[in-house]
Amino acid sequence: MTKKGTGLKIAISAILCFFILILAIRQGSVYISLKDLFGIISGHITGKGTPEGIEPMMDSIFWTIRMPRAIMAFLVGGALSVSGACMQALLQNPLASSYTLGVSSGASLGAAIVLILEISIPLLAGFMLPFTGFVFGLITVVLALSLASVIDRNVSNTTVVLIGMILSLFVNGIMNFLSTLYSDHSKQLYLWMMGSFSARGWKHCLILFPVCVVCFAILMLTSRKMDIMSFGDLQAQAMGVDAKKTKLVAIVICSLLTGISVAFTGVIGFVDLAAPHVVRKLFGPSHRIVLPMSFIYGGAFMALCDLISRTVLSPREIPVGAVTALIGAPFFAYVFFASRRKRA
Amino acid sequence: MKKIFAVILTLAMLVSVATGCSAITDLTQQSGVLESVGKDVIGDIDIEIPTKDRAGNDIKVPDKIDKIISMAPSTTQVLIEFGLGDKIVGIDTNSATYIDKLPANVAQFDMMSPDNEAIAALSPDIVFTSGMSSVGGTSPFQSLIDSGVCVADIPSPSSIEGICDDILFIGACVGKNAEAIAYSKGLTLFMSGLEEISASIPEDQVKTVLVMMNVPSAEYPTIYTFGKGTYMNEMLDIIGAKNVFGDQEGWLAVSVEDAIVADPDVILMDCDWLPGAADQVKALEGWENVKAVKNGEVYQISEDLCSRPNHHVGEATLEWAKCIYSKFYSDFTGSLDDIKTDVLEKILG
Repeated sequence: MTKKGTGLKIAISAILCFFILILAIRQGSVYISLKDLFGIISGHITGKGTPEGIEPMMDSIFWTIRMPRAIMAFLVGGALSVSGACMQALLQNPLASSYTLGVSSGASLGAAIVLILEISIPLLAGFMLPFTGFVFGLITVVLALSLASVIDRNVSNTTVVLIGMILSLFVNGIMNFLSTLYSDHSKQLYLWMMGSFSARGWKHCLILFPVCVVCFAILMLTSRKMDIMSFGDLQAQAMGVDAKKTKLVAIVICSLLTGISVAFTGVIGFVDLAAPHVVRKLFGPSHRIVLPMSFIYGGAFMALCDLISRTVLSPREIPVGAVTALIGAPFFAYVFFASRRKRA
Repeated sequence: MKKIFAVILTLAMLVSVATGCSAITDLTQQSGVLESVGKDVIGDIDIEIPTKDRAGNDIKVPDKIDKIISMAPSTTQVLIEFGLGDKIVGIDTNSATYIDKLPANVAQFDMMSPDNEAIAALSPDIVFTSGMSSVGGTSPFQSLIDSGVCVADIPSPSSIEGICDDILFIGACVGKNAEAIAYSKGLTLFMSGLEEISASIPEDQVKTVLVMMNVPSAEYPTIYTFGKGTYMNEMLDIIGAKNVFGDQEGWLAVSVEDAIVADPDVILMDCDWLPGAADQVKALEGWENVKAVKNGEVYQISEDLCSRPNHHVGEATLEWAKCIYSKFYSDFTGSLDDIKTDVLEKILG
């Protein structure tokens, strides 16, 4: 693959992604012309206020409701697929995902506890659920990693994946037990677990955005090491990479990305699995390109899924987790099996 | 049976006359007709004991009812008002609101996953269940039904007429026909009184309404409301208001964006569990240009009254009417209780 070809593909992808984002912001229950849309956006960014001739209602709908939602979907999709891409590389397992180490089950347990006990800390007003979900998600991952390091000094991939799975199932068990005991809240919990971008505002974006930027930057710095580590821990060690340390740090960063996404939007599957694989097929295995492209592809895919989730049955909403799985699963299967057949 | 038909016919006549002019005043004028058939009828008001429940299942109601289990608050409320509170041996946990009107040792069961063994152990003569319990067509009470207990299912009613029929059904099962007729006809008469006022609302003053059962937030992202084919939609129809989601069908979960776009004149908050819900809606980001919020027409309504499908929805309808059209309904003095008692007196003579 020539450098030039890759550059062209990146440019096309970026344009496509921008187009999808605009589409996601524009489509919905009310129609807006591109001119008005850009008028509203520039009015807010420059602080001049909404241009004349645009109804204040349109302004609230697009600036306060739809834009943060679409951007949130984009960021979460990006965060999930980047962390998925890293996990697959770090654990040398094509089926590894952001959720392999139990972030989602931990976060769900945290959410369940908050919903059941109806706890609220005034300081966290409105952020209680995401905060607890995030903390519980991270605790689960840290627990899984420490267990793995205790059992296996080299922290081999098989150990990590197995412990992650066992811990996930265990934590899920606790959560199911709790939700059976307190069935009043099970519907709310179920809705939370299905994931949604509805009613997410700028305040959520403002927290997610810096976290994404910082985590992404750190992961980009380790992208070279990740390339080497995809050959296996032994080879990596031979080439001077401290596999264990890199693995632990990168996994924690990935979990941070996943944790914060799950905390804000619920458990949304498939994008973390599908997007990186598609990107690898298009751009090759180098993580310097795979990571940013995963972000773009994952983000665009999620923005598109959210668009579908809110428009297909409007005014009803389909949980976005269901949409990603419905579209993602067959697509992923296609990509996976198509490449197998070629190999055979 | 003939006499029953006479009573029902008379009442039907009453209703049709009442809708023509003022429902409440006419009721008293027509009382003579009622009295002539009412006097000694009560002993004979034996509308046949139903052989099918409201869901269409075959049931065999025992002749004598001494132990009742009610698995829905709306039914529990009706039974208590029928004067049967002391016969209730078991309730669903939501019915616990009425615990002080029930025997001290009344058992409580989960509506969604009832302990059928414990229910059977109480050897009830009849168990009233509701649509809230059945999930995907399977009744969580199946093993109870198989054990031969009379389980009378009352699916969630979708209209005011359905509510009236449900009350008549409960009455027929427990031998309280006179009361049941009084409650259901009382409700019908009361509603026609409200309809009479709504007919006088000029076309250009008709308001659009959104009833929300929660305040949208990141935890409850969608708004629970309803479209046509629900008794709540009919309540809005009766008072002359227009449901903004009236073109949709059934109970709905709509997105925040669609609710804002619908731009209702009035928002009613049907959520007692959330104190200050109306103020929370007024403070929501992005809602400041919605007419109801701009004009301060967001009201908290009593969830207990409107969400239990029995005759009390009449009171709920009046409450909604006074919120939406205070101008037209503020002078309305009709009382559901009075009409109900009136009708009952006429039947009993």
